[in-house]
Amino acid sequence: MFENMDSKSLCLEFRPRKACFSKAQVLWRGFALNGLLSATQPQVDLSQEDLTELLFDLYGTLELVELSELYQAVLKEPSLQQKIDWPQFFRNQGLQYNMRLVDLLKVLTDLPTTFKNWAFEKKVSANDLMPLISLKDPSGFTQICEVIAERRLTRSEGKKAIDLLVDLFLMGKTARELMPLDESSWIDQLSSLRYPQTKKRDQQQANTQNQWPDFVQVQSLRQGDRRIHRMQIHYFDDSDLSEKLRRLKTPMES
Amino acid sequence: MADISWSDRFAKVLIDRKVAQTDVALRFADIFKDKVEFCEGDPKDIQRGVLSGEQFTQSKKQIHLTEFAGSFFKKCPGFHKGLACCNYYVLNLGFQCDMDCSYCYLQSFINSNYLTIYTNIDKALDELRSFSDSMKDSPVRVGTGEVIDSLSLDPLTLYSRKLIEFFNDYPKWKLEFKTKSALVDQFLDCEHAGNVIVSWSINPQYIIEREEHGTASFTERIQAALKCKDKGYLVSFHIDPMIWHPEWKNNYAVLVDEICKNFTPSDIPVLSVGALRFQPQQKNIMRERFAMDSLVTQAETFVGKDGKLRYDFELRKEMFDFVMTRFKSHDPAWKIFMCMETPETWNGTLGSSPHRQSDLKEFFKPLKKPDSDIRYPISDI
Repeated sequence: MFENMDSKSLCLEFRPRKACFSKAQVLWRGFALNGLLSATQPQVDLSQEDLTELLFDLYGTLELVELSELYQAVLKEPSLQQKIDWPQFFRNQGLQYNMRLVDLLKVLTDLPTTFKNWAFEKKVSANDLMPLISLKDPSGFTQICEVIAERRLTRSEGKKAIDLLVDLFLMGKTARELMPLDESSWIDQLSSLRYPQTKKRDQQQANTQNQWPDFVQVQSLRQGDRRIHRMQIHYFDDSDLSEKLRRLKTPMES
Repeated sequence: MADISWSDRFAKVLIDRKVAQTDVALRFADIFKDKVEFCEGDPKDIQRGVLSGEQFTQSKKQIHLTEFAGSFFKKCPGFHKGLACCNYYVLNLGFQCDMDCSYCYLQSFINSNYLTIYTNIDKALDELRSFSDSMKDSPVRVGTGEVIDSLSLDPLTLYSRKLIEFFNDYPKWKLEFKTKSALVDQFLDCEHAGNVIVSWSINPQYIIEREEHGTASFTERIQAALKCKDKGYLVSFHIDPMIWHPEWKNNYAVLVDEICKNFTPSDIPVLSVGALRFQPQQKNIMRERFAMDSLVTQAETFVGKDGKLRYDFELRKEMFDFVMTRFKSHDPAWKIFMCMETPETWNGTLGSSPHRQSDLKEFFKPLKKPDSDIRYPISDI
């Protein structure tokens, strides 16, 4: 059953980023499905198996970036592509097969490797990256994607940044204008660019806040669709607290 | 009905063979002739699930006539924890709209590349009838414009006529058609019990031109409303969604003034206002379809308490306050409520919840639960 790899075998050009389940080369109708792993491994021919299920058995659940790479690899091999039940393939991966997903997988293919590594590491979902499908020409976005990876944003920061960046990019901002200015929060910087009127209004309202006593620190923050105020009071004991609360009720006197 | 432009409106009309002899199907077959195809059950090229922007656009150009097997009658999605509810029920006689508003929530909701018209309206009326046993004397409001425009295809279906006739037997109930079209001639001759509200979702012409593609103009909507008023129908306007733009105050002022010039508070039992809102995931398809050329995709929106993206709370309050004040300056008798808004917004704008507003509380009074099996789904709208 196990043989050396036939020199005539074709290889599916896909290498998962984590270990493949099979230690043998799995052949399916002349294709080494995991042929890129090693040419010296023994072979097992599973041509009688259903290809869709075989891919899942072989690779298990894949991250989105891997799915993009596998999908592109299969598209290059028409004889394999025809035998895959794509809706079932994606169902096995916990995803719903639809054109939006397919469009996203195609966009992902052309993005820089550093970004794909980041997306793999942070286990980003299709939903996190979906704004990217609005880009008619993702190549202009490459430099921005590299910054996302370099700054090692968390998954939620990355999701937020991508949404803001795609908006701003489509609004005509150049990649250069969207680069981080300094080490402070890039997302805050992008938010100010994306929401200029709200930012201005928040600032105006913060400037017109009541004059608070010097023992409190009041910070104005945006929480969803609201602007909220966070107040910090330092006190020594209960009587100090009572006194400060009393003064707070009449801040103008303080 | 003789309007020749109908035949250009759709690229394909697919009729399920089992409904081919219904009045609606025969009418479609007569009007669309060479565009008509027949199918058994679902169309062969139907695509289910999340649609791409292109597929969604396609779904506005091809119609599928079939029966609906589920429950037609549902509670309005405003019946949701955290939102003030106005006892509104929805009757869905189709699915998808032939017009194309950039902000339309159907973009995150439609899961088929066909606009569907249900031909079994009689089943829908039976459902309403069974519901009536326990609710006949309650002030139930039923609307038909939740997932399809009530009137934009009505000259083809003529469902308005059947519904108006049905509601003659339930004078305490209110039937509401909600539309952005000006197509009302097909039912103006119907006898009605004074319980039919023809309502328009309306925006300034500036917004209509940019965001409400394929809809009637502001003037056409006002003219259609006047025709309805003349025939004794109740008329209503939903100034929803209000969309911020640099000239918003001027444009919404003109809108309010035009309504007040043509109608009095006694013509219009209640007006509603609402501001732009949508589910976060809807942003992707809107951006895909309209890029950032739309005031909707450009909008500065933030996640609200209910998870939807909305304008800043203070801005919403300012917009609502502006419209309400403008109406009240024409006549304090105008009744206005806010659609899909939180109690905080009500308190901020009107000073109290709608339940405490003397002119609105009748709409917000909780009704007893009906005996029949009404579904309360669509929590994800």
